[in-house]
Amino acid sequence: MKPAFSVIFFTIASGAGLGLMVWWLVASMMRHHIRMPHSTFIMGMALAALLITAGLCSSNLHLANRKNAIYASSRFKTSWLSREGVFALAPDPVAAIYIWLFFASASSITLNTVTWILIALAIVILFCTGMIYGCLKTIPRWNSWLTPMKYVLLAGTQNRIALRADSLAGLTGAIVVLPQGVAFATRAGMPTEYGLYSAMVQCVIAALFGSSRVMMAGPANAISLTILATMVPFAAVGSDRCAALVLTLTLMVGVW
Amino acid sequence: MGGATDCVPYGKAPSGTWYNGIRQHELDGDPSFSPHMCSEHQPLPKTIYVLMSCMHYKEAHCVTVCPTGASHKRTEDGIVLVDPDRCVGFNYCAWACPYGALELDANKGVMKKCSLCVDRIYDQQLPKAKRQPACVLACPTHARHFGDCDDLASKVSMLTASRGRKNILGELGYKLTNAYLSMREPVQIDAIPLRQGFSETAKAFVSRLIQI
Repeated sequence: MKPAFSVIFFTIASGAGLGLMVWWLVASMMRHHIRMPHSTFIMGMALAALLITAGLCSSNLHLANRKNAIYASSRFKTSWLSREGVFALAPDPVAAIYIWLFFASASSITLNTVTWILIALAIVILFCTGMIYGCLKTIPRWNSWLTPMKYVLLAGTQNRIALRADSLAGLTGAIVVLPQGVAFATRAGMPTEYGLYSAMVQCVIAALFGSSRVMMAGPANAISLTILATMVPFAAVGSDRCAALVLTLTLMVGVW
Repeated sequence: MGGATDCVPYGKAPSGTWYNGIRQHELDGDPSFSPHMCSEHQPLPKTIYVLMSCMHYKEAHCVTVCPTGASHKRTEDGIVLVDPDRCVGFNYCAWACPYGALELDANKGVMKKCSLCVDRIYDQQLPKAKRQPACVLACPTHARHFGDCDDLASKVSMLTASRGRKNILGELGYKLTNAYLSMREPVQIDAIPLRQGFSETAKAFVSRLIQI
């Protein structure tokens, strides 16, 4: 089961685009309560539309026999892929009506009704896309109602602020913590991959149990040397026993 | 007899699709599959071969997931086929098939699968005995059978009645059309005692003396 790159790109891009669209629409309905320039809203919606369109185009890239794609909606009754195909096209006329109403400065109630229809359609599409993967009995890990739920929720995390903050944090982590973790693990006499594990695990622990949001959690220089000095009398550097002892030490330090 | 002289029988970079995959499993540690024991606790390993071609299930998953209706189950005889004039080559049905029976033909751009030799079994030009899938005819030990399971007097019905049919993916809710016959009861070989008692040895010695 080797999914084509275009399938992965489609799933991510169209999910992100639809999630982004939902949040911009919600924001637009609150336009009387929050300050949001017209241009920002239009730019955001354009980005969402771009992502959705790019996803849809990419989903056609890996078809080995594109000329038969016209039949793709003919099994609406049984196939989730077919349903997704039908619903993916449904927002287009609604969006056209929305844009026309938006620039024609239609009444608030009319605009809000169309907005709600668009939001509902987006969620239906997301659900169908999730079910494409969720309905496969042959892949037990996906074959659950949690799969479409997760996909809808994942798309829901796409908003401008989170997107920016998450990607910045991820980049910082990759650039700074990753090599640092590896280096400190070597210095503490541990197998190198433990540096990566400690960088990952401590993020979760610090996020859940950390006492302050300004305290930085990460692999540290001094402690790795201390660990090496403690471990040398007990086990050979880099051995499995050493790793086991370091884990014990970590747990004990955490408990006390 | 020498080994196979042609090491690359399909050429250097074979392209194409498998209609009839066969998977080899080595079972060990399960006494029910392997009654002959190496020692008291270690059963001998047993190799079994599982046919992985299309089973033409009653509610075939590749048919329900197909968006174009290219995968279809024929109403007249229940054979699951792919219509190349409707197939988009999405490869999605291959994900849905528990047997890996569907493969994308890279040259034609459509999915290919076992058709139960639909061209052979209805070919009026062939003698009646030859109107069977090629794999059934080719199997030298006659491990494969072809026939109408709905006809209770047919050879396959009698075989399934006497040996039992096994649905190896029953837990996934697939309903049988093709079936695996249950494994035959293994032939029991009487164990030869390694060390005989003194009286047996003495008797054997005496009988040998008498024979001389």
